[in-house]
Amino acid sequence: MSHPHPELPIGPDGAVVNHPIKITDELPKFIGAPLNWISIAMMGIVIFSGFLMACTFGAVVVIRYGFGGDLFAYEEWLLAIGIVGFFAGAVVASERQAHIRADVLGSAITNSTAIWWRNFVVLVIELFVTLFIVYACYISIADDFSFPRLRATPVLGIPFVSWRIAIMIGFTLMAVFTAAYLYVHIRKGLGLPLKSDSAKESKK
Amino acid sequence: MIVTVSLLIVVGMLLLGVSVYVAFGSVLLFIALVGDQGVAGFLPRGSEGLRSLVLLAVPLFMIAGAIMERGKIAAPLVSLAEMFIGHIKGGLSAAAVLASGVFGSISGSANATLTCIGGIMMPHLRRANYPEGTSAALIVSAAPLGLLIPPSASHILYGWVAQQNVLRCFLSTVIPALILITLLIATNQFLLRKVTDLKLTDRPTPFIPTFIGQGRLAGPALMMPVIILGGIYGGIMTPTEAAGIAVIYAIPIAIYYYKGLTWKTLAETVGRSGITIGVVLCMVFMVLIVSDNLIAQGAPRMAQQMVYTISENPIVILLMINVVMILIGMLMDDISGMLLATPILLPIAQSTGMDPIHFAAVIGVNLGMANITPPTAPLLYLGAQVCDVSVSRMLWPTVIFIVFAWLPTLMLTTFIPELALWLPDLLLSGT
Amino acid sequence: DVVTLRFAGVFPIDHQGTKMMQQIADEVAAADVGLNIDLYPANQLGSGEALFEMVARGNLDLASAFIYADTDPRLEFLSMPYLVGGWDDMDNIMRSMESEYNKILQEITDEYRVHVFAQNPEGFVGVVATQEPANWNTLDDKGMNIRVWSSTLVRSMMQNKGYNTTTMAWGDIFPAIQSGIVDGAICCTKTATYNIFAQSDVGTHFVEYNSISELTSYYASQRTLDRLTPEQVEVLQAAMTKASDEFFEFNRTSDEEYAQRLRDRGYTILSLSEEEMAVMINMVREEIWPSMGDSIGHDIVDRLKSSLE
Ligand code: NA
Ligand code: NA
Repeated sequence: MSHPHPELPIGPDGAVVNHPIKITDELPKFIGAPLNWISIAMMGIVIFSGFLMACTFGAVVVIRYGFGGDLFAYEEWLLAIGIVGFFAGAVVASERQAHIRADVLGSAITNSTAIWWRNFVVLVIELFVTLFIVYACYISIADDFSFPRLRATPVLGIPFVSWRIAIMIGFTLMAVFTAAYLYVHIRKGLGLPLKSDSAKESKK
Repeated sequence: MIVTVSLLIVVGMLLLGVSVYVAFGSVLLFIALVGDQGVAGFLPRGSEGLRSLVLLAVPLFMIAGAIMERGKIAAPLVSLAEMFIGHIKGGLSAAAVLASGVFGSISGSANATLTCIGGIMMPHLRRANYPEGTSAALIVSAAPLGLLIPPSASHILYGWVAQQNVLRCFLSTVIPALILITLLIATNQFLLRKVTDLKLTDRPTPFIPTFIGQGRLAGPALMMPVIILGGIYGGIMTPTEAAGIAVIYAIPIAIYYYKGLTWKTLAETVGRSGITIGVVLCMVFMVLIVSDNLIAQGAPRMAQQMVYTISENPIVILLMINVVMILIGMLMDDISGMLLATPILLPIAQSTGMDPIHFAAVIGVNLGMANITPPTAPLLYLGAQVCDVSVSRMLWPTVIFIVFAWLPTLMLTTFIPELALWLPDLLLSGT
Repeated sequence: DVVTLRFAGVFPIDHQGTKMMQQIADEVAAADVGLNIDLYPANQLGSGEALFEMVARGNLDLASAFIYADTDPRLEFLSMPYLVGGWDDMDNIMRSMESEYNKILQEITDEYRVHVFAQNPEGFVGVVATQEPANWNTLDDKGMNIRVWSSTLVRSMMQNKGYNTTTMAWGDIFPAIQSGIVDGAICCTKTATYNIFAQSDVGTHFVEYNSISELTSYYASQRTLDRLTPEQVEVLQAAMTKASDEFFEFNRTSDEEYAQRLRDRGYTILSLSEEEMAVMINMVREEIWPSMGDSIGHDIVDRLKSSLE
């Protein structure tokens, strides 16, 4: 893939921007704590689905040659779990601000007020557009339920809405984490200290 | 009208710095506001597009690459390349190019290649007095080789979108990759012509035992592409299954042979790849919906008309296609670029008589080159950090490598179809 | 003012199926009833699985594609094996919109607000193989592994015929047969076998089991039709019916033509005698049909059975 590792955000001048904050620590505790659990759960789903995909294909090949058999219709459940895993990964990416940005203007803007405003606009757009996608997902899923039967996979009968709902939940959580970054960004703009910074201060 | 504004929105949003998935999402918002397509169609299109076994090859190759990357396989590959040509002037940097090609084939990731090979080679090159900027630029320019040397996830995707035989797509970029390797090394030799104080390594003596020792270290890593490609071309598994086997092979190799990973760090590695996968597939999800809506608005027909009003000369048309692909590649990663460019540009290319397998090679070289072309050159910035050289010192040599190695490779690949088609025709009869 | 309809298809650009779509668009435009059709062939707007959902939701007006059972398990009756035995049966049962077969289909698609204009059976799907299957004309073990698609019905039928089966997505078939992962596939008509496999020197045998017909339908969103005048709907229906008639004649002729082309390419076409065929048909009607009742409904199976008598 042609982009920096998500865990290494690269600034426009090539310097590694130290991962600034753990977003869940910066939120009021009653919301930060559950969000932290959600992101841990998402990571668990990511790891599980990653191993499951690899092992299933291994099993398909082993069963074909080792036992002359066939893992019939495995794609039906594997793809459903795979899609859930993809979007769990996308949620964690939102939690760590690891989604890819082209960032061409980054090097052109040096004035710190301008930087703040640009990041503010970016976060507002990201929040608004992600919420729109959630809305589009909701309309679509509501439409699904208006048909006499739910579309389902032909052999195992797994309803399509199961992963579609997972995608909607994924985008919802992405919106929540984007909103959290926006909240912190506004606090920064108001000159309020980051919680992680004040924690360090009080330890000294 | 809708198509033009949509493209302007994507470019504008990307320039502003919003995430790629949001840039495409804003196009959907625009289409929902002005178009006649209801928003209820978005989710089914994206989710059913993702529900393809072929697409699973992408995340699996990413995981396999990440495991091999963390498994410390780069060092033995570098030593192996070095012992053959390290004693020649410029040989050490040529070894970096070869090692990038081999490592890229295994990992499939330009970033991983750059991080691992750059991290190991740069200190060597520095100690041997190789010029910093040029060497770092060379390593950066060689990093996308893995996209051209099979197996490659983006070609699996291309085969899927363009309904082409993946086995042939894989082979289409092998000769262009060899040309690129040759040109990169030649250009570098030219840049080194006035450098006189290089410290050359000694040719190892006795050669054969050293070779066997190094070969044994590198062997299990080198076996990975052999097993994958052998399995695919030998009729044992499909490309998607092979991607799964790659992961299963990489795990014990990384843990027990190279001892670069433990079971705990393995889980971390899979988790981290999972984030990258989430990022990429979230973009793919959006790109699938957007490209469908653009097609429904007649984008391919419009693009074709526009191109043909400028010129009906096939050479000019192919050049224009290349320019568009470079622009696409400058703004997004290879997977999304492939998904967006293929349905719109392939029909135009085919109208000039271009073979879809030939187009697979052209798009592959294009998107590889776009990764290192400023201003949006993620690999250049990563390279600066990995090699600890400032971007400004790397910029000029990078441009030289683009102009004298990448661009000629792209032109040769575009205008000599045999470079892409000869190998697939030779190895896979017919089609 | 002119109403523009979107018409999506799944055939490649130069396929006869796409040419017929073009003909429909041309005739509708020529009728000058304020109706215009834009074509989106070659899966441009999505695969056949996706198109039905788009039409049902009103996001797409017209489609030329197979109607898959993932919308509704009852729809699997469309691929009921040995429901038709030859080209005349196809004409009378699958193409006649008055047949019980199409009455059942229309009843089901009505629930999704989808109207079926015409049916396009293209020919029987056979087994493409890279070697002659042992005992190919009986139900005994064939000693070979063939690809089937994800359908319990097709899988059990092929297993009852003595094949080992591997489920595989459509996109994997060609590389899988070419590289030898499977020894063959139940997948294609003779025309498709020639275009996809024989032209590339892949495969050597084609077994005519004549069990399942390749089928696509011309269907429309009822939401769209409700917006049109009765005259416009009539023009659409007429163009679709005419295209369907011509497409069927074309397919019937090219089936013979492509049998010859396959032989010219060195293929062997294996055809069962009437007695051998009767054994297969009996097996399917006694073992496969009853089990189909569980998913598609016994009433549908019974209605089809009695319509055949
Ligand atoms: Na590769
Ligand atoms: Na670029």
